[in-house]
Amino acid sequence: MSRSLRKGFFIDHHLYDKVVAQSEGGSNRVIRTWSRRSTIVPEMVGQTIAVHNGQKFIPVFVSENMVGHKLGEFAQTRTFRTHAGDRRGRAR
Amino acid sequence: MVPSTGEAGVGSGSARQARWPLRIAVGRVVKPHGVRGEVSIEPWGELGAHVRSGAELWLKDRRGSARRLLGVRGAKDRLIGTVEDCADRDLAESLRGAVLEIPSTTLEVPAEGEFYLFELEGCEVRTASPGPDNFLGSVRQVVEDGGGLLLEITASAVATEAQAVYLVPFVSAYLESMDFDQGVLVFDLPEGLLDTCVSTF
Repeated sequence: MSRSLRKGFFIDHHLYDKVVAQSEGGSNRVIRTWSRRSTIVPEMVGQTIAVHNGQKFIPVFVSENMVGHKLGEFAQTRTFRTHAGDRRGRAR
Repeated sequence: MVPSTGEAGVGSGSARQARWPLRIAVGRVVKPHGVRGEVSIEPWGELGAHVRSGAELWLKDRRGSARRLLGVRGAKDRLIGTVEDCADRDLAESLRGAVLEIPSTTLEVPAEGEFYLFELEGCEVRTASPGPDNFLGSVRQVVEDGGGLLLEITASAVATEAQAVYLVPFVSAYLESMDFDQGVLVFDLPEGLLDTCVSTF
């Protein structure tokens, strides 16, 4: 069952305050957080959030597609190594 | 059986291709298949395209020796391969875990702005600040996390007991330039990233 729209999205206030302050101030400093449960909000787009995975901080560069997801979805807690093979990439 | 070639690249084309290793790993033997010495192969990339193009395929086992793959056919999400000088299941069993490689000369040069992921490994990473102190390290590994590509950069500082490893998101917002001919990536990183996203082995 999805979360009630009446409640709105969830984000820890201590994180939201930092994000808004940085967004309004125009600075580009990395924000460290342990709050994996917080929802990614539009104010975070373009910022880099260092999300703790239980062991270390994983840098997450927030793009528009990530809005609405939780921060923890982008900082894996288990190591899964893929092989590069002949796959191609492009800086997004 | 042919001794495996080294990792050093020899260039006959552009400087970019000269930095490529001689062979690229594109799959792995998961298990033997049947009793005639065939093996079941897990493909990692666009292996099917290389097979269709008739590229030379090699299996490199854990001891480093290589065997030619004579034929490949599809089976669901895996491939079944026939190996040179391998006619029974016991020999095929010894190939479990062997890596399937293709010559890098069969790969085409990527389009503008594109790259192969293996090209990033070993690249020198520098920060945009001028001066001799802008050398950050070299790319040890490319990690595909949920949020996109991350570069694991091994610091080039004086050898310490625990070597520092930086994690840097590979995004165009921070990437100043990438030169695959020289193997140099230049980043303009946000303040605090290197202090925060550093770990040790």
